[in-house]
Amino acid sequence: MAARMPGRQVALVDLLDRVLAGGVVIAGEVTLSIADVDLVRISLRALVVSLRAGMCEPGNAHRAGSWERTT
Amino acid sequence: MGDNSATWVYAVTRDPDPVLLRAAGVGGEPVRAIGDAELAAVAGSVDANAFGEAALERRLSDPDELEAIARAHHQVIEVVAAARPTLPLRLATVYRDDDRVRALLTQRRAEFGDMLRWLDGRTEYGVKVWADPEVMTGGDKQEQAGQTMQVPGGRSADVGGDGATGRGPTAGTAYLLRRRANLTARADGWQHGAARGEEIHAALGRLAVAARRHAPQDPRLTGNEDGWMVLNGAYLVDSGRGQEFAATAGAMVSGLAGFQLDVTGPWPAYSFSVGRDQ
Repeated sequence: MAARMPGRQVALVDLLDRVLAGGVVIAGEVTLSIADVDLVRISLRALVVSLRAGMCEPGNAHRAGSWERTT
Repeated sequence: MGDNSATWVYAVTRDPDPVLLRAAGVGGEPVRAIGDAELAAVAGSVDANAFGEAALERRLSDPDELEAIARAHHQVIEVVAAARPTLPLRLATVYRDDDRVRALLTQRRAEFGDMLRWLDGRTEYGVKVWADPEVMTGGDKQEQAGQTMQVPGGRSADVGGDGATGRGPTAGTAYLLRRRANLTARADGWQHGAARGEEIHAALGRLAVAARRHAPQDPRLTGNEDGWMVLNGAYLVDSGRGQEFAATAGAMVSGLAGFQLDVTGPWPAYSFSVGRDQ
């Protein structure tokens, strides 16, 4: 797998697209207490909404997050 | 492990390369593998007080902390993914202890195995496309009195005329007509840009194993308040064909007035590790 050139940092917005809305999800958008159950899972929905308040333009109707597996 | 420690999980991989043991995690902790050669979680022990639910909600709401934690999470994933097929975990997946992580691997062994096999030999690239609103709307001609306005679709409206002489529309009506034409031109221009974005996404998808759209990026985060982001796509491409993919993507807009395209990558396959039912 190709490696990134050292010293070149990814853009934060591109990274946030991926670490907040990508990656394996262990549970749904539920916040659980570390004291009571196995899993601590921060609800990032509110965070994502606050960071992305307002889409670029009105009328943008495409469904974010959908994907197609073609093979 | 002490009572105040928890296990932050970075990724799931197989036959983890020992190089990952030199990485440091979100809390500066040494990174390690939990599991076996066939399937392993890459994880680190963190202070539950600093990485527990309440602390994380507070810390991830601070832009500087969010950036530091996100980059540290990503750094570990990049090291692992450079050497092996890897499923990145979403940010902030924390388990109470290693045993819980082992239970996760047992429970989802087949699914993780399938996904790793699917990702093997494949790499994610990102493609973003912007449209120039001025070009999409045909430029701003509406301020010039006496000029026929051209809007996309061939409609035109003549708002010439001098209100003072009583011939043609009054200044107020002319203003409203111009304003409506502006809004129509803008909406049409947006549709035009969005349609090109759809076409580019479809074309790139045909070159890739899988394709996914992310939400357009907030202009306040990108610093680009002037352009319309009409595509924020992620594509799973056969490794080694990244240059070819990027070049093909660039060629798609080189002949299109008013469009800019940016390719990012290679990325660990974040966008293709989400389960289909999630």
